Amino acid sequence: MDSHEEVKATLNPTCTGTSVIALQYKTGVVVLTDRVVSYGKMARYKNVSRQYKVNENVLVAFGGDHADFHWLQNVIERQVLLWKRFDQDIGPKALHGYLTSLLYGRRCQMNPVWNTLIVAGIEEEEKKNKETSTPFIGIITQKGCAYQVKHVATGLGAFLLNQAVEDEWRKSGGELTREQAEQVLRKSLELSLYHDCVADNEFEIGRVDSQDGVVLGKEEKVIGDWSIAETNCQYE
Amino acid sequence: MACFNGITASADATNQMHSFKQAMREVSAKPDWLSARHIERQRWNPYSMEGGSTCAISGDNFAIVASDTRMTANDINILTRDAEKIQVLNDSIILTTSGFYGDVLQLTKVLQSRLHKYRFDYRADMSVDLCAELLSRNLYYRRFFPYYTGAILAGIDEHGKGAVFSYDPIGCIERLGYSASGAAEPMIIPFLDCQIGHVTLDEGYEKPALTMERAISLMKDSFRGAAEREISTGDKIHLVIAEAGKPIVQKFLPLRED
Amino acid sequence: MSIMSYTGGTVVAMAGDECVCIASDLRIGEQMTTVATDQKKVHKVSDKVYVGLAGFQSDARTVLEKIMFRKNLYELRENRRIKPQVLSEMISNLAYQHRFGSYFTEPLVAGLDDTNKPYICCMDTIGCVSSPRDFVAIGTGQHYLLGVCENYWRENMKPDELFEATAQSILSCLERDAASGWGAVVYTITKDKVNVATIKTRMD
Repeated sequence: MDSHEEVKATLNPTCTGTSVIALQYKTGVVVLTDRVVSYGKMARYKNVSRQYKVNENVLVAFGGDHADFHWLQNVIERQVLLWKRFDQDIGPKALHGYLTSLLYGRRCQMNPVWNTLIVAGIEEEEKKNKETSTPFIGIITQKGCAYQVKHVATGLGAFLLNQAVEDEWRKSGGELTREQAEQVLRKSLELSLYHDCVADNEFEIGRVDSQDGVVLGKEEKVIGDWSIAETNCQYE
Repeated sequence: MACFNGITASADATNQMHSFKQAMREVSAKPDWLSARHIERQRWNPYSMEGGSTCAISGDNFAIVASDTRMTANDINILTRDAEKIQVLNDSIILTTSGFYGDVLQLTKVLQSRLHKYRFDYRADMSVDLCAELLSRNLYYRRFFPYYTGAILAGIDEHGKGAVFSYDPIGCIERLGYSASGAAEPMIIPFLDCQIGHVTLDEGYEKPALTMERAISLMKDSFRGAAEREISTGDKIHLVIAEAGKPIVQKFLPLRED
Repeated sequence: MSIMSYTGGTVVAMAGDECVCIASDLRIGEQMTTVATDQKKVHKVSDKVYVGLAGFQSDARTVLEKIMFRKNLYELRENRRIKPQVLSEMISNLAYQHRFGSYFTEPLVAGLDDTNKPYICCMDTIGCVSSPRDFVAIGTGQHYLLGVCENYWRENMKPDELFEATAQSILSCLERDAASGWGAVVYTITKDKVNVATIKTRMD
C-alpha cells in the first residue's frame, strides 16, 4: 500500500453518542437523547446536546460519531442558508432526502458519515391545518438506508427499546398526548440506562410541535431503581 | 527546506533538525493508521441487507406485484413494519426491489428521473419494455460496484399484455411469466412453478390460463407460506394490481408479525 | 462449496392421518458432475420405520451402517421392533458422539409407531432433533421444499392425498434444485403396507 495515501474515512469512530428515541404524538414529535458523548466506554464529554435545531420546523438528532455530526451541522446550516436565499425554510422531508443522498454518496466513496440520523419535524403547509398535520420522523443509517416511521429507537435502543416503544404506541392507537409520549420516552431511557453501559442518566427531550415549533428540551435526570443491585452476587 | 541550510546557527540545532526529519520520515513511511489493526478496520462493508421478499406474476392482460413491508437489520431486528418496496413508476410500470435498501432508494430515484426526462422529451410515458432495458443498462453501469438489489419490473406492455422482467444485481434481464426475489425467493419460486408454470404436469395435459383472481390468491398463499418459515418476511403484504385499461390498484393485507 | 452440497440430494417427509410419506431424489454428483442417477437417500430400517440421509453420501453410507448395527443390536436385546422415536434418539446420540468431528450428513426419520401414530423428525449433523407435526426437509433442496410444503400440507391427510402432496412438493423442488434430480422415489407408509412409487422428474 502506498504509505503516503491519506486515510480520510471514518472507519473507527472515536467520540460517539448512543441511542436516540423518537416518538410521534397527536400534534408533533418528541425526541429523546442522553447528554453524553463517549470515548469507547468512557463517558468523555458530559452535558453535550445531541440534538440540533435546524429551523422552527425541523430537528435533527444523531447517534454515532460526534465529529461527523459537527461537520453535518455545518452542512445542514449551509443548506438552510441556500434555501433562505430563495426565501424558503427547508422542511423535514426535504432535509431527510438531502441527507439521504449525502450519506449514500459518501458510502459510495467508501468514506461513510458514521452517523444514524433522525430528522423530526412538521411540514410548514401542514402546520396550518391542524386536522391533517402529520408529524414526520425520518431515519438515515450511515449506509444511506432511509425510511420513515411513527416511532423509533436507534443504536443499542434498536435492540432494547424498539418493541417497547411500539407497544406503547399501539396501545394508544397512535394517538398519544404529549405528556404520554414523553412518559414513554422517560421510561425507555430508564430501560436503556439499565442495559446500555454507555447510556447516561442525564438527558433532554426535544420536540417539534405544530403550535410551538421546535422546542429544545432542558437537561433532565433519571435515577432509576437500583435496589436490585443488592441481590447481584457477581460483584462485591 | 533549503533556507535552513543558509541560516543554521549552530551544529547542535542542525543535529536536532536532522533527527526530527528522520523521525518524520519514519512516521510517514509507516504511519499509525496503516498498522494492521487499522487496516483490518478499513475493510468496511458498504452493503447491508434489509431482508424481505418481493414477487410478481403476469397474465394475459394483467400484472400483479407484491412485497412484504418488513425491513430488518441483520435479519433479526425489525427496523420498520411499513417499509415501501414497491414503486409505481407510471401508469403501466411497477418496480419492486429487495436487497440493500440504500441502493433500492438510489435505483428508484435514478429510474424516476430518467422517466421524468423521457416524458419531458417525448410527451408520452415510457413503455414497460423500454424501461426494462433502461433498468438493465443502469444496473450494468455499476458492474464493478453493483447495486445490491434483486429488481423485478412489471407492468402492462404496448400490446396490453402483462409483463414481468426479472434482474440479477448486475443487470442480467429476462422476461418471465412470474418471478420472485429476496430472502424467500427459494420458497416462493417452486410453488409458483407448480401452480402457474405447471411444471409437474405431464405433457398432453391441459394447462389452464391464469386468471387474475387465481393469481392474487396464489400470491397471498405464497407470502403466507414464506412468512411462516422466513424470519425477515412478514408484517403486511403490499399488493399492486395493474390491469390493461384500468388504473393501478394498491392494497395492504395482513401477514404474520412475529 | 460446502461439503454438505458436494454430492447433492434432498429428502422430505410428511405426516398424515395414520400414515407418513418419505421421498428422496436419485442423483449423486461430484459438485457439478452427475456420477449416479439411481441412488436413493431413503433407507428401510424396520417395517414401518424409514431413515433418510442427505448431505455427503460417503458419510451417509457409514452412518447408515452404524444405524443398522445399533438397530439390530437393539432389536436382538429387547426382542421387539424399534419405534421411530427410539431410532431418532439413537441416531441423535450417534451423531453427537462425533460432536467435534461430525459426519457430514443430516439424518431424517419417518415412520409409524406401535399405535400407528405418525412420527417424523430431522436433525442437524450433530444430532439436534426437531420433530414437528407437519413436515421436514433436509439436503440441498430444503429451502425450496419448505416453501412448497408450507402451502401443500393439510392436517390429517389420507395416504393418497399425502402421497400427492409429497410428490408434488419434491417435483417442484427438483425443478429448481440443480444438485438434486434424476427422478424421485416416494414411500407411503401406512399401517398395513408400504407403497413405493418411482416418479419421473426433470431428468437433469
